[in-house]
Amino acid sequence: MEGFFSSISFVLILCVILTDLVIAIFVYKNNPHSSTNKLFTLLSLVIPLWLSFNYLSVQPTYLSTSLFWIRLSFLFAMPLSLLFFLLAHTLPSDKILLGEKTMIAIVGATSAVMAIVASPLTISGIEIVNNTPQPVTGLGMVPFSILSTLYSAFAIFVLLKKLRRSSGTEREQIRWIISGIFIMLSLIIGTILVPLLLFKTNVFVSFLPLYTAIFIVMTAYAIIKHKFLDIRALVTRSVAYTILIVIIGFFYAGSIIVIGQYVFGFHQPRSSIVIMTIFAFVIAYFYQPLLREIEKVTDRFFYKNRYDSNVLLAKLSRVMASTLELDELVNLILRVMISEIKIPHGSLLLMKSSHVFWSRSMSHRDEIAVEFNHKDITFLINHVINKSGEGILLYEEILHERIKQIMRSNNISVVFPLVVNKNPIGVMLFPSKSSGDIYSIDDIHLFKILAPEIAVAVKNSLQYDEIKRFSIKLEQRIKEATKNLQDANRKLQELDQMKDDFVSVASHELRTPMTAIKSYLWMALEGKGGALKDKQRYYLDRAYNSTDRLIKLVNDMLNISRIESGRITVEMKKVDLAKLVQEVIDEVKPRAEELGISIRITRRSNKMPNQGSSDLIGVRHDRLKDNIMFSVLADPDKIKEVLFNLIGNSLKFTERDGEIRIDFAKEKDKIITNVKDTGKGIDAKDIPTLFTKFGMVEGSYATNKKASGTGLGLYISKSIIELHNGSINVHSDGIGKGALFTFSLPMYAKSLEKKLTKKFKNKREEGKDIIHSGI
Amino acid sequence: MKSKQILVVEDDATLRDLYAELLRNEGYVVDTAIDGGEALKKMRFGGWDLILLDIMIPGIDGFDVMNVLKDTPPSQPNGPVVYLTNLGGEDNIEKGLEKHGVKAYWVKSELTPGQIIQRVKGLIAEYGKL
Repeated sequence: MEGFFSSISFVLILCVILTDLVIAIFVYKNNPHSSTNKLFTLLSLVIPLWLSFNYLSVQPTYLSTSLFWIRLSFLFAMPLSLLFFLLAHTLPSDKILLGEKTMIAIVGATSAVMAIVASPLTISGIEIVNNTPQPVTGLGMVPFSILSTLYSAFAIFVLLKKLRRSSGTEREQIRWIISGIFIMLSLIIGTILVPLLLFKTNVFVSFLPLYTAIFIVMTAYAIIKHKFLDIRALVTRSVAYTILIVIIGFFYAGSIIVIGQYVFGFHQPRSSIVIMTIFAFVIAYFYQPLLREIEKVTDRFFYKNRYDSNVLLAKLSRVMASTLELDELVNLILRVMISEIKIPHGSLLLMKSSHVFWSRSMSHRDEIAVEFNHKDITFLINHVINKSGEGILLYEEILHERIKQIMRSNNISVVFPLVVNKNPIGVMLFPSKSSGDIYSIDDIHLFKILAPEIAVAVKNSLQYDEIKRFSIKLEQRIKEATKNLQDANRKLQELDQMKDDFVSVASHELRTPMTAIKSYLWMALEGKGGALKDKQRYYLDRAYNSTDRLIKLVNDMLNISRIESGRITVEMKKVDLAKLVQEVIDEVKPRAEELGISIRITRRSNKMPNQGSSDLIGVRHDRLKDNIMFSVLADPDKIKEVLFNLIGNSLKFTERDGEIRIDFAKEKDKIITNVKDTGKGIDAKDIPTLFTKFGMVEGSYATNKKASGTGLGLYISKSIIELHNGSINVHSDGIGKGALFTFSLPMYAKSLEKKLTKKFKNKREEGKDIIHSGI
Repeated sequence: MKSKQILVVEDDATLRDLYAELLRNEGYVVDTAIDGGEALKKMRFGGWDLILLDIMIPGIDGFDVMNVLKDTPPSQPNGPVVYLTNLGGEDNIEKGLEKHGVKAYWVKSELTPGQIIQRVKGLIAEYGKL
C-alpha cells in the first residue's frame, strides 16, 4: 500500500511539475508584456518547486536532508502566497496596480519573514512520526502564519470584490479562478484535512499536487481566455509535448535499466534512474527552444548576413496585404527584400507583350534610377519568358553566353520572373548581395516561394490601378456629359426665354398697329368720316370684327406664353364667387340681350349638379337673401377671365331665346361652378381636344356667324383653373343638347391662403420689372 | 370756360394723330410728346388737365417719367395721369399705379375711340370738381 501510494505520488508530482512548466511557458508566451501573465508564470514556476520540496521533505528515503527540504518548502510558501495575492490583485490588467512604495513594503516584509523562516527560529528540527519526518516548529511560525494568511485572505477578498464589480469576460475569468481556488480548497479540506483530523490518516496528502494543478490549469485558462486564445491549441500542444517528453523519459529510463543491467551487468539504484529520467525530461523539454536561441546567438556573431526567411515571409505578407497601390506595393516589396536579404538595390519591371512598360528600382531607403540597357533587358526578359518553366536565373549557373554577358554588364546576379496563371507579367532583378556572397540554395528556395506571391500581389494591384484609371476616366466622361447636358439645358432655357421675349415683344408691337386699325375702323363705322353706304358699313364691320379677333388672339398667345413659361402670377385672395359671376353677367348682359339669350345665376347649396339634366331648380340670385357664401381662394381677375371665356362660349353657341344658367355647389373643400347653356352642344368625339391649344371644334365658327374665337380660351381657362389647384370639365349629351362646363376652386380657408400666398409669392412686385423681363 | 388741356405721350405716329384728332374733335386743347424726354419736359412745365402716358416709349419709359416727376414736382400742378398702354393683361401694372401716382391704366387695344373719349370726359369732370 505504502509503495503504491508513494509511486503514485511520484508520478503525480512529476506530471504536475511538467504541466505547470508547460502552462507557465505557454501563458508567458501568450503575452510576455502583461504583468498578469508574468505573475502567473512565476506562480506556476514556484508551485512545482514548492511541491518538490514538500515531496522530498516527507520521503523517508531522504531523512537526513528532510530538515533542509522542510525549510525550503516553508521558505517557498512565502513567495507563493505573495504571488497569489499579487496575481489576484493585478488580474486581468497588464500592469501591477500596487504603488511602488507598497510593493517595496510588501516585498520587504516577505523577505524579512523568509529570512526568519530560513532560520532555526521557525523550524528548529524534525521528529519522526509514523515513519514520516515532521517539523518541530518555533516562534518564527507566528509571522509566517500571519503574513501568508494575510496574503491569501487578501487575495480571496480582492477576487470576490472583483467578481462583484466586474462584468463580461473579466467576470468570467475571475469566476474561473475562484472556482479553481474553491475546488482546490474543498478537495484539500475534504480529502486531506478531514481524514487527518477524523481518521488520523494522511494517505491523500499525495494528491495535493493534483489539487494545485487544478487551480493552475483553471487560472491559466482564465488568463488566456481573455486573449481569445484557442484553448484547444493549448490542450493539444500540451498533450503532444507531454507525450513526447514521456516517451523520451521512458525510453531513456528503460534504456538505462536494460543496457545497464543486461549489457554492463550492474544494477542502477532507483534514485539515479529517477534523477536521470528527470534530466532526460528536462533536456527533451528545453531542446527545441534552446536550439533556436543558440542558433540566433551564433548567427548574430558568426553569420551576420543570414536572415530569417520566416521573418521575411511574414514581413512580405504584411506588406502585400497592406496596399493595393502599385507604387507603394512595389516600393515596399523591394525595400523589404533588399533590406532583409541584404542586397544593395533591387528592381521590378512590369511588361506587356514582352515590352517593359513600368519599372521601379529601390535602394534601402529611396527610389533610385538603375540604368539598364534597354536592348539587353528586352533580350533577357524574352529569354526568361520563353523559359518560364525554368524560373529563376542565377548568374553563377547560367551557361548561355549572351545572357551571362548581359547580366554581367548590367550588374544583375539574379533574375526571377513574376508569373500569374502561366502568363509572365514582369521580372525582378537583383545585383549581388552587399556582402559579396553568392545566392544560396536557401535564397533560391525562398525566391521560388516568393515569386508567385509577389506576382499575384502585383497583378492585383495592376488591375486595381486599371480600375482606378477607368473610374477616373469614367468620372471625367460623366463630368463632360453632365457639362454638355447643362450647356444644352442652358441653351434650351435661353431659347425658351428668347421665345417668350419674342412673343411678348411681338404681341406688344402687333397690338399697336392693330389698335390703330381698329380705332380708325371704329371712326369710319361711327360715321366720323361721313355717312356710310350699307355695303361699306358691312365691309367695315367685318374688318372691325376681324381686327378685334386678331387682338384677342395676340392677347391669348401672350397669356399662354406667360402661363407656359411659368411667369404668370396669381394673386390669391378671398373671393365671393357669386358676386364675381354677377359682375361678369352684368358686363355681358347688353350683348346677351342683343342676342336674345337669358343669363342668370341659380343657386344650389349642397346637391351635386345633376349633369346632363336641364332640370335646374333655383332661385334668382338677386332675390337670394340667404347667408350661403361661396367663398373661394382665387385670383379674381383670372377667374373673371375664365368666366368670360365660358359665358362667352355659351353666348356664341346658343340660339336666340336660349338660356345660360350658372350655379354653385359645395363638394368637400371645393366649390363647383356650373355654367350650363341650351346651345348646340358638343359632339362626344370633340370633347377630348376641347381644352387643348387651338382645340376648337372644327367648323364651329364656320357655321356660326356671330362666333369668333381664337381657340385658346378654353386652354387658357384650364391652365388658370389648374393654377388654382382646381379642375375644369365639360359635359354634353350631344349635338343640340346644350353644354355644361364645370370648374372647381378651393374653398376659402385662412390656412390655405397662407400656404398658397407663399407658393405664388410674386417675385416682381413692381410693374417696372415687367418691362425688363422682356414684355 | 377755358378749354381743358390734354397731353398725349405716344411714340406711334398713327395712334398719336388718332388720339390727338379724337380729343381735339371733343374741344380739348391737345399737345403731344413722342418720347420720355419730351414728355418729362412738358409735364414738368405742368398745367395739364389730363396726361395720357404711354409706357413703352423711347428714351425714358413711362414708369421712369413718373418716378422722376415724383422727385421734382412740376412748376404748375398737373391733372390726373393715365397710363395708356398696350401692355395687356398685366395686373402688375395696376399694383404700380398708386406708387407712381397714376390715376388709371387703360389698354389701348381693348378700348374703342368712343370708350376712350367717354373715360377722358369722366376723368376731367371728376378732376374738375375737386
